[in-house]
Amino acid sequence: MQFNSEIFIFLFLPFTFFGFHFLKNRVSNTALVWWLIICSGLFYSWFSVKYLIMIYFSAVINYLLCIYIIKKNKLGKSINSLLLISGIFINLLPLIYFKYTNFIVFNLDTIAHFTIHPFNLILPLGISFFTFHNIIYLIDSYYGRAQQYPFANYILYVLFFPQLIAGPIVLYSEFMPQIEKLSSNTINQNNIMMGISLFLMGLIKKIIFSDYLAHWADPLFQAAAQGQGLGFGASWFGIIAFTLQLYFDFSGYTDMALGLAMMLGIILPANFDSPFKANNIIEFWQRWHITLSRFFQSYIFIPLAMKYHKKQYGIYLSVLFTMLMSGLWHGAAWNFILWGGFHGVLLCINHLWRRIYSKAKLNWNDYLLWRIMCVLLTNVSFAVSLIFFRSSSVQAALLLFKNISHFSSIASSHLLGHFHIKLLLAASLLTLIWILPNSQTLCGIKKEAAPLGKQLSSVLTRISSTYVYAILIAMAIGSIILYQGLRLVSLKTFIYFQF
Amino acid sequence: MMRAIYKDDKKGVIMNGNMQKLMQVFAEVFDDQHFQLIPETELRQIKNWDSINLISLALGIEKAFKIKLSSVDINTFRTIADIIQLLEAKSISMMAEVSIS
Repeated sequence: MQFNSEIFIFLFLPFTFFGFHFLKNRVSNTALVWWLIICSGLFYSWFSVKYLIMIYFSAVINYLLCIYIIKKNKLGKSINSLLLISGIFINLLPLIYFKYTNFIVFNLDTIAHFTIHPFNLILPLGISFFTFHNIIYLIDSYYGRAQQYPFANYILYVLFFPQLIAGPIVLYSEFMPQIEKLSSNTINQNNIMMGISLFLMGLIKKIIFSDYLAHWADPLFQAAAQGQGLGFGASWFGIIAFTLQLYFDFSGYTDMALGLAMMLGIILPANFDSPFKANNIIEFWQRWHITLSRFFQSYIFIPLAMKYHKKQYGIYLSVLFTMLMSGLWHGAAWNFILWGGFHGVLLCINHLWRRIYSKAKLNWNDYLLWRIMCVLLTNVSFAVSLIFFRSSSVQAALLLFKNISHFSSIASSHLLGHFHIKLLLAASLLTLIWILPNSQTLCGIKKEAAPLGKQLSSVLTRISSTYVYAILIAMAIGSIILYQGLRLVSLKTFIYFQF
Repeated sequence: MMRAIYKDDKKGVIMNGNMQKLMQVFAEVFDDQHFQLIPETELRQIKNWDSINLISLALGIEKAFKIKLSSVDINTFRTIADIIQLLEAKSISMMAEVSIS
């Protein structure tokens, strides 16, 4: 069951939502938590009952382990360390098995000329995300930061359907206080309407923009996968289209997740903060997939950097290693590792530049033209990196790199072929992304000082409680579903489901 | 007498020696001699905030206060108040002695 499917919007969502609000003032907090656990289980069972049982058991084992560590914290460091390492291993084992077995097999076959056939493994949806939620609680229990929470609350932390499949990666310290007062929490009409608005914005991003852009990007990457050389213009167009597709897909998914949680009175952390408005690649990663960056920073970068800080390059190597791990997390293939490495190098260059800029007391950032150039460079760097991300193999990626750097064809009159109009549309979309306030600002989750953001947000707040608005939303959802139903676009899976 | 992080609208934060030491660490890391130590400030809102500055800040605090910070300690840093709270928890007094007349 996907957020953009008819069954989710017309059956599952009303069932969960009305059930929740009906029960809210009638049953205990624990019963309400169990209602959400049951609904989340139902949601996941649509994909696989077998894997749902696996998630449930992994959460139960992790919970018991954490409670043991928290209670017996004073017993001895060595026992606790052993429990922590075994716990992390137990959590990572299914992830390694399902996600990385075939990658290991592929490398053994290539390097050592083994003849092991790839296994037929289906990756359980959301495996990386629920594994991370378990690991966060485990590590913090070991360091004495986490306290014991009721069993049901912990199961909901791992299983909560808006965040289960593709994040955001929520800290238990953000989630648990909200769950503890679920029944007493006042959810006003405005919160619900804003939640619905956010969900709808995400749905539009996914169905109207992302799925449409996929029709532009897919053929170009498929051609590269088959070794067909594309022209300079077509290759650039392909990567720009995919960059926009990925942004609308993933930020759309996140908007829907945040909106769904908001309808139930829960605020999840933001995962995007207008990344294409970033001035540099450091800032970009502070705005793109924020909760993943936070996870990698907290649990990989900081421990490494604090250990190897004595030499300045130790910190830079920690940045590089963290990004390589991020690449490997995104996909078990060399092109994803290269993607991570590419960003690691970009970040190191950016960090070095910051130090030079600061030491030399430059003031170029005061000039608008310089800032525009910085934003463009950041956007282009990210778009180029996505060649590794989207290509089916390293060979296909290298072919595309060759094509985009074939500057001698710029002078050619058929540079863009029939891409003129499409390129114009893509450029308009990018301009809108640069100018408009983001969906979280509009829905009041993020307070923005910029006048346009403030104004649009207050307009939306004013009209959101009117019947006209409700009718408009119903019409919008209806037409989107009809649009999908008529197969003007086919129902496409969210890109981040594969991670 | 009371111990508190005392803020005066006209004079800003009244600081004891340790608070001044912390401000000096911030000033050096962010290369800004006029850095204002406002407890409510979120670290990510500081100009040029990044992960390497976070490490430099942690190392600067370790050196200035002769303490050892763990990764978990650093993970709790969200605002300047979190850092002050952590230092207090490590028995470093950050509070000014303020006379109430």
